[in-house]
Amino acid sequence: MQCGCTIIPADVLEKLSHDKKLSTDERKSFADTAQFDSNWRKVRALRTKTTASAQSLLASGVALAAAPAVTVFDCKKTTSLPGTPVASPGTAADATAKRAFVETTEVAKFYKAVFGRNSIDNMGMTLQSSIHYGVKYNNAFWTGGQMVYGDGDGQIFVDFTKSNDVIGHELTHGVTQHSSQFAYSNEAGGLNESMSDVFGSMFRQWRAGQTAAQGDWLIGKDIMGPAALARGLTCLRDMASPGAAHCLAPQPTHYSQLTPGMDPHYTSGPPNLAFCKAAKAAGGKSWEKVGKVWYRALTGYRPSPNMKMKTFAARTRKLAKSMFPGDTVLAQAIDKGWKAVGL
Amino acid sequence: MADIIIERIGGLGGFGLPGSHIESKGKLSSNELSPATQARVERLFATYGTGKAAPAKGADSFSYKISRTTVNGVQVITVPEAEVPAELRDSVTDRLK
Repeated sequence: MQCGCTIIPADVLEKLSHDKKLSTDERKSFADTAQFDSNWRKVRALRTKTTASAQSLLASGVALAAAPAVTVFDCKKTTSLPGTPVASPGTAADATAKRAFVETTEVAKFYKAVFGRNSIDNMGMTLQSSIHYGVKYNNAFWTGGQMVYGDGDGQIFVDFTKSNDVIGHELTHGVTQHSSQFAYSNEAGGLNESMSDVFGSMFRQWRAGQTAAQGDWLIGKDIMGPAALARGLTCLRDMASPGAAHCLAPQPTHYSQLTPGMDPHYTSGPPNLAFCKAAKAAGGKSWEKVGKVWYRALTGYRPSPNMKMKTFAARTRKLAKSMFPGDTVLAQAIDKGWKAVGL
Repeated sequence: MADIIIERIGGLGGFGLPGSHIESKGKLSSNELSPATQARVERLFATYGTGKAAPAKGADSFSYKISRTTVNGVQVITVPEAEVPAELRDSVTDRLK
């Protein structure tokens, strides 16, 4: 695992390193952790500084690569990240490795072709994925530097690389991290999760060549296992109907239902529904106009960790008019989408 | 007697959220834990027992709600997955409800 120690405040680590109720080994462990923690904070600060510096270089056309390298690592059912490198994952016999490579590459193409973005950081950052994480691990996540996929337990979930929207979802957490930097709690957290669902779903429709009307707007449809399907649970979430019974985790559909402290996977319901309604009302393909407005709203401003949903909605309304002047159908579609969820 | 209850929450699938059809829980007796794990559990409660939930590390990561019953009553902490001892983590079973 990557360092998990930074979650413990430095002063607590320091206190524990001198706690005489603990054994010598335990005190040493806390002292070492405190030292590591301090070093890790310096590394993080340096990484942030480096990113800012690199972004200024990008303005003059300097990037790591014209298109990002895509790497896949195999955790071999351990939780040791990143695992061992998979050689030539694009032609690997392991279907999971091949799928992670192919779909991640396609997500990068999607971002480049539709939005002109070069990888997660818009500077050609290498896209690293780890597969076969843990034993029957029922999750996929973004660590802050890479994507991680479990195999699922084979009952409730199957291999988390099987839904390409999940791959788009995780990668988009990286895009958010390198652009708007929405926090992962309260309204900003709901928007953070919604961005990942929105761009993950758009990517899935882009891969299938579907219009907004043709898309099913389901998140995680292809990772649902036999036990879940037997119960009629066909997705994690449904952007078109967040509260539907076929969702593993139904969500609220109206902004008024949200309260501070709710999980981001719950509060993303209203903005997900707003996007879906707007894209359907605008017509055509979701990424052609509404998706471009959402992308600019996500990436075209200074970082705003505490973004509010009303502010984000207002931003998209304004952008619709400036990016597509005279397109009243689009402006009304976006306006009505937000109004339908109380924003 | 099980005096520690562990619940896995969050993740990409929204485990344990209101209305969620998936539940992840485990029960353990603190007496059955190895001394090293017992010590780690004590440290977790010392670290996170102030009532403030620690945020999950990274988007879509799991958190674990750990509650224990002591002579002083029930204590509950919320801990990122990376901090949870394997003995506790492995006691949790996912099931549909």
